[in-house]
Amino acid sequence: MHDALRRLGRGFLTEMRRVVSYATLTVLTVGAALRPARHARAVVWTQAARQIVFTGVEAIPLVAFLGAVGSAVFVTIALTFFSGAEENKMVVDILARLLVREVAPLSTAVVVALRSGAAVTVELGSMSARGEVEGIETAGIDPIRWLLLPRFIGMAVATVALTLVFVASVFGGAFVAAVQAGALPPQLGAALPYLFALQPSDVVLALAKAGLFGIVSAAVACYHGLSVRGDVTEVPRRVARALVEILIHCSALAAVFALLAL
Amino acid sequence: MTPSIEIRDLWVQGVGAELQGVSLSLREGERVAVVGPHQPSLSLLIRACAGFERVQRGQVVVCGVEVGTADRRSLLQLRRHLGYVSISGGLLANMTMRDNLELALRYHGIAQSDASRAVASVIAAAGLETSADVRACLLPAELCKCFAYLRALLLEPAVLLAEDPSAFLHPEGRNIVSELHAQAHARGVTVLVADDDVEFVEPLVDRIIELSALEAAS
Repeated sequence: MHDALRRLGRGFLTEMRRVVSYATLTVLTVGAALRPARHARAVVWTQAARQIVFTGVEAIPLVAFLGAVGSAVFVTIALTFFSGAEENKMVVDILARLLVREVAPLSTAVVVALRSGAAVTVELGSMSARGEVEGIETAGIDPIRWLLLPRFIGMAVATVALTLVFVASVFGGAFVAAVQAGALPPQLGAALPYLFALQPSDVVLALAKAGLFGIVSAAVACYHGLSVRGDVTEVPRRVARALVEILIHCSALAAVFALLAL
Repeated sequence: MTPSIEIRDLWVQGVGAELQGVSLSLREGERVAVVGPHQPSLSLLIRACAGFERVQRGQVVVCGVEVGTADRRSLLQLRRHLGYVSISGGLLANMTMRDNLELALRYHGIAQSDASRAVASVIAAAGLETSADVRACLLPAELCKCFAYLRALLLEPAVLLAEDPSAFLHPEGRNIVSELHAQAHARGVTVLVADDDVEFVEPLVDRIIELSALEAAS
């Protein structure tokens, strides 16, 4: 019992130390963003734009597919249980609250973690192992500004944008499913009143969460990538840890947000 | 900024190597090679001067900056005035050699057109045009080393630090590196190299010192 408690305490402290490291990395990156460095701006924005394209634009089909299919399945199943106009409204309310506010940012964060979190960890891990990070430092290039800042910007912006895509596809999928189930006439106008079930605060909260998840994903992925020391075989281990930790931290934050919003 | 190096009673522990009480002083424009049979210890000395190793005891002052106690930003500013060539070169593998060189200039605020012109000129002077548009990961280590030298000297550093300059170099690469060292000397660059190949570094420097002698001096 005593040993188990000690192990639990040690594990908790290790986890806390890591969270502090992620927070420190984020603060350093935000600091680099706020510090004026006009000369490096063009190079950094080029990198950030590339990251946004990779993390955001290239993931649009996947996120749209997941959003549409998820909501279509949800609506189809819900409509088999509820059929009256009142119940339809309830289905839409749940759809808005659950899928838009809770599922959209978290699902998007999972997609971003699986695609870009893994890629960022592999890229930075390989660069660290090959001595490239030191290499750019020797040229007076700040790795936080040139390597981390674009990835933080790219992943945060892309996660927010992909959440919007997810929300749009949720409504698209739900509309098609509702029409198929005969709960709505096949005119787009008929679906508009249902859209108003979505409060602006729901969308704002979803986007804020998405931005935070993007930053968490970037911090964890960058931390594990830069923690590789000279051994390329360490990279896959770091990727696995980064992915698990991104999912755990984002889920925990989602739970905290949900509890706070009660 | 004083372009000189002052190492006093330096103790550093690295992976498979250590420095015990090394002391060394380089005047402005002086060229020194530290030699010895154990390359990891020699590399450790150069890495400590560039701020990549934690100084356990003693002092390393490069261009007036005490490397051991300098913060991240001071080190970055110092490195702007340092040319550093690691054993493998440390070039970005997924970029072409030309892009690797241009990045250093563009990051420091030089316009794209000026950076391209400057890079094309140094590449042509070194006779490396045929490899300039190939990604670093596809080139042999010898060429990467030569391009790493070009990058290190491109920003016109006050001090050049080179870890094992002879590594990976065949006669052609050695000629290029020797020529680059001669150009750096003509510009008055302070040079500290650490190599186990005494024959190669002899013509590059003014003074050759055994690492063991530096340790004994402390």
